[in-house]
Amino acid sequence: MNDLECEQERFFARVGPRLVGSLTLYCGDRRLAEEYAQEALTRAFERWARVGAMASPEAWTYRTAFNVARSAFRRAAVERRARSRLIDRSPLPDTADAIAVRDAVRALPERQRAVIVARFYLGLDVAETARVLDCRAGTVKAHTFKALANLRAAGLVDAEETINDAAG
Amino acid sequence: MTLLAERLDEAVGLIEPAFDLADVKRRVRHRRQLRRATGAAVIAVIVVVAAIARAGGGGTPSRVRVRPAAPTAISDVLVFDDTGGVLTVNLATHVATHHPLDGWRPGDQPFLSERVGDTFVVGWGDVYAAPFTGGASRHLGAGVFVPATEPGAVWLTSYGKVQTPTERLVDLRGRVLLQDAAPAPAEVAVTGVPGGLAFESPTGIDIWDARSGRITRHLGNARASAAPAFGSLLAWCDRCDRTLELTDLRTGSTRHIALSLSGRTLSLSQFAFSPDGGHLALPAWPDAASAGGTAQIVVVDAVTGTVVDQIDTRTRYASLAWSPDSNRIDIAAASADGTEVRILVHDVADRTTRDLGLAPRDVGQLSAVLSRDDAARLPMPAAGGRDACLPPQRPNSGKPLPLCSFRF
Repeated sequence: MNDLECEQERFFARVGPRLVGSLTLYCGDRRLAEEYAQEALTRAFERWARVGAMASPEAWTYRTAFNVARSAFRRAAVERRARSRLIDRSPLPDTADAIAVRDAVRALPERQRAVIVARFYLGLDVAETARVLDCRAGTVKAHTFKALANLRAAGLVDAEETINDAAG
Repeated sequence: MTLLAERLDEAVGLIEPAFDLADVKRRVRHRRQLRRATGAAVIAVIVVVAAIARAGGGGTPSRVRVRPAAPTAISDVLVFDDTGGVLTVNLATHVATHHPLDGWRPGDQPFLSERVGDTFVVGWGDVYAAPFTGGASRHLGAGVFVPATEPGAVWLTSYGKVQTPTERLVDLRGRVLLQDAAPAPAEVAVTGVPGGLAFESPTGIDIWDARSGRITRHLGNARASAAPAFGSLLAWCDRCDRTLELTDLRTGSTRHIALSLSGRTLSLSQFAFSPDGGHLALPAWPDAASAGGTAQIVVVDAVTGTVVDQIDTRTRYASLAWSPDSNRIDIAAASADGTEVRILVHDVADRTTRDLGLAPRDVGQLSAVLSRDDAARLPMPAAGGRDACLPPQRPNSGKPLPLCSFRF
């Protein structure tokens, strides 16, 4: 295995699962998340000479993945392919709490949902989230504030849970 | 903060993707082949529109004014970029210029673009018309698109919640000219034909009439590929290493053009008629099993149906564009890994090919070319804009670039 293959393998191992997880939360459908994640990774590897040299290849890939997921298309073929590929290797947890969390996230407005996934699931800071979502840091903070308020109202976030955006 | 992060983690569980790295790499290989093959969809529309313009368009107004090509100094080519626009390359001055296209998002497929008149149609999922002159794009609708034979229009396929997609012919203002449900959910529209669409089906090519909603013709008896139509002429093949079929949808007659490609297969997405309709050119790519194989450009006399030239590009992939005067084919010849792209120019009359040199590296997917005559119509930055997007800055930007130039 050459250096490029090693680098891509490490990137895939590092980003792949988090990408699928974040898209699952974002679009609420594991099958579509798999498809969108694979599409985003394909686009990243297609341009690896450029993407791999970026300050954050992960950010580019996440951003592309969110763009893909945001697209309004529902290609029948894509769904069929995703369905046929979906196997029981990694089923989603189906505890009442897990379902409630997923439902609460899914109920958020789209931009708030993206911000919550990027910040709390992917662990990105404000600047990284702004880069991924192609918006300003202030917008990220505003969406974070509103999303936390919504999640708090849904009982998902404890009243005392806060986030320090000042450093972000 | 920790609590919410933990709850999200638990809600998703331990993720093991259902696909692996090999799946992704297979997609990349397939996509690269498609990518290198593309310009054709762009070229075909230009060719159709230009030809209609030359022929008077049967009374149909055309948005394209074809200017005579300069006979020498072919130095500009237009290549696709994936940072939000297109790139013109001047091989004489070694200056490349990035032209932004509003509506193009990071990661969008460069080959999912069509030049329609003075507009690029771009996007996948949400389709936009981006004017050459810059400025805001117009949203044409949701879906995916294929070229239409009607001037100034494209076909949009929208996949809503219903199983059967909707096909719409829209003009560049987003107005729907025709609309109907697709004939079958499993068929994929590949190109517009007069009054409808051609679909690839498991048993060949279905020609669908939008007004009646019916399949009016079926071509072939095995899975086949079709190229962007040229008026009523549709090129297709089901044995793409041996025969090219050219069907006139108006008369129903089909001409069989025998090919000798030795280990190569036609790439119909790169198919291009010359603007005068006298020739057609299309690349033949080496088969996957052919490790050291090289791509050829096959030139066919459209009148006699005979192969008049086979240009060996000495590279793995090639895309092409005709000059508006039909005398010249500009070729982007890419290495197997896509990092090196040479610009070749073939003179059709005297059958000679010149190597103009290398295009800039690492600026995106150099997958398609338009002739310099087309590139010259794009706006150029003011003198102060030069070197505003130096290549070293490009990889880190991640955002679409403004109109700017850099030296290479």
